[in-house]
Amino acid sequence: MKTRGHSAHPTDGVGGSRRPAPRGCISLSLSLSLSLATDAVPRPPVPQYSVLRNYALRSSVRVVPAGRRSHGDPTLLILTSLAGGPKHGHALSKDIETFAGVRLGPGTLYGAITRLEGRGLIEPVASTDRRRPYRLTGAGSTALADAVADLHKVAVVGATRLGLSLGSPA
Amino acid sequence: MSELGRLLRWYPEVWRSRYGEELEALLEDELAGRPPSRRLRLSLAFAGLRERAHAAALVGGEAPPTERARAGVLVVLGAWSAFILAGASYEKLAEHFAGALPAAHRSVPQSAFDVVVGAAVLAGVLSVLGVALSGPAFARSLRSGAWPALRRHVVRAGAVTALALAGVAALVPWAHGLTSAQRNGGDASYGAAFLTVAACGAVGLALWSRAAMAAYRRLTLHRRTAVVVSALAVGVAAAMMAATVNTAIWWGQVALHAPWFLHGTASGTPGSALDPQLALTAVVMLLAVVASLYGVVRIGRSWVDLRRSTG
Repeated sequence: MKTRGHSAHPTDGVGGSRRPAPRGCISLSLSLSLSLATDAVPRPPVPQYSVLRNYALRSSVRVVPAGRRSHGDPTLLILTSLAGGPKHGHALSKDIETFAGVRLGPGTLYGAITRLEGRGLIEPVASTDRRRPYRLTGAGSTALADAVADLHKVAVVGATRLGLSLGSPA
Repeated sequence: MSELGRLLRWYPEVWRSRYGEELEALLEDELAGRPPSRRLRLSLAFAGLRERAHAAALVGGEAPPTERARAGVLVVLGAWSAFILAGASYEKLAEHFAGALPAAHRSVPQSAFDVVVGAAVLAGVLSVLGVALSGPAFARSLRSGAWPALRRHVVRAGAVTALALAGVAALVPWAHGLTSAQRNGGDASYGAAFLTVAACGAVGLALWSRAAMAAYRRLTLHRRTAVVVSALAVGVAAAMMAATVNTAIWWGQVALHAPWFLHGTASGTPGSALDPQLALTAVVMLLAVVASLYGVVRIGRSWVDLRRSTG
């Protein structure tokens, strides 16, 4: 089975427990708590499938119809966008709209940027322009890698149980 | 200030000084010369208020646990201020209720009323204890220069309180010259004056609460003191809940056995038990309880996090 790192792409199709999923594609709207990677308290090693428990306790997993789909966590989208290189607010917004089909409002975008910078996951790039670019920090890259790995695990389990192959991001 | 700049007034000043220009530039890019829509204005207002809540450690987990616990205490304090107003309204509404009830049905509502009064006294005592415990830290903060930041709060609260006291001083002799019926709605001008003075009192209480919150934010409390103050806040929240539950019991009992008391008609007259003033009072009590429970949860989680982080 072909799998990709960030397979829960909104353009991959629709999946849900209450409606029949189209063959060959699956999409979950997942909200990950990225604070996991930055908690001050060291966490003990986690057992297999702890990611599912994490979703149940600290995150939201929502399956929504195509056309009304929204990712719950803009921080994940911003980190994913910045993984492609530094960007300022408008460029981030456009990039996220292109790769995820999600339009983040200016208030939501800057709320998430504030939180990510506060956690040390992104940092501003020195600039004299009012449009200040941001880039991922080392901790941000680690947090994104963890989040993508968690998403991947869930997507693989879901796809395997449904007998689907994971589609490639467009 | 530009129109876009004015849209950012919902955000805290510190946030604006860090991100304001960037967000303004983003808005310029997104709008491309179009006027901001109502939806965008609302979204920015909501986002700005959310940032204020984050800055005050009322939401989110980025602030240190001690600050989150402090925010929880402040939520309980604010809720208690609103509860005092609702309690005063209830006390006025419940005046002489026992005489309206048949003797056989008096014990339950009387007990409920007594619990409300007892809970209010307990919450008041706990609040005073909290103030007393914070006293030394408050004195330290004044010595280290906190007064200029607090002065405007105290001056405003003091001025409105002086106005309310002057109003009371004028109302007392006036009330002595009126009959009971005139004092209770029969005299329109007295009623208007009473409401004005009551409103002044309410605003004064709100301003003192604001001053207390501003002062509490600046205190550096020893950990043990902070724990005790947090525990006192939890006690105040519990007392508010007990008072609200017993107000509901009292209301139900009076509505069942003497509904005429609630709408101020002659004994034995049938009528609705839904008195608007009592309903409003109950709603304020309920909202205060909900807010205080949020504060308690915030305090609890913060202390658990602190305990975990310090082993």
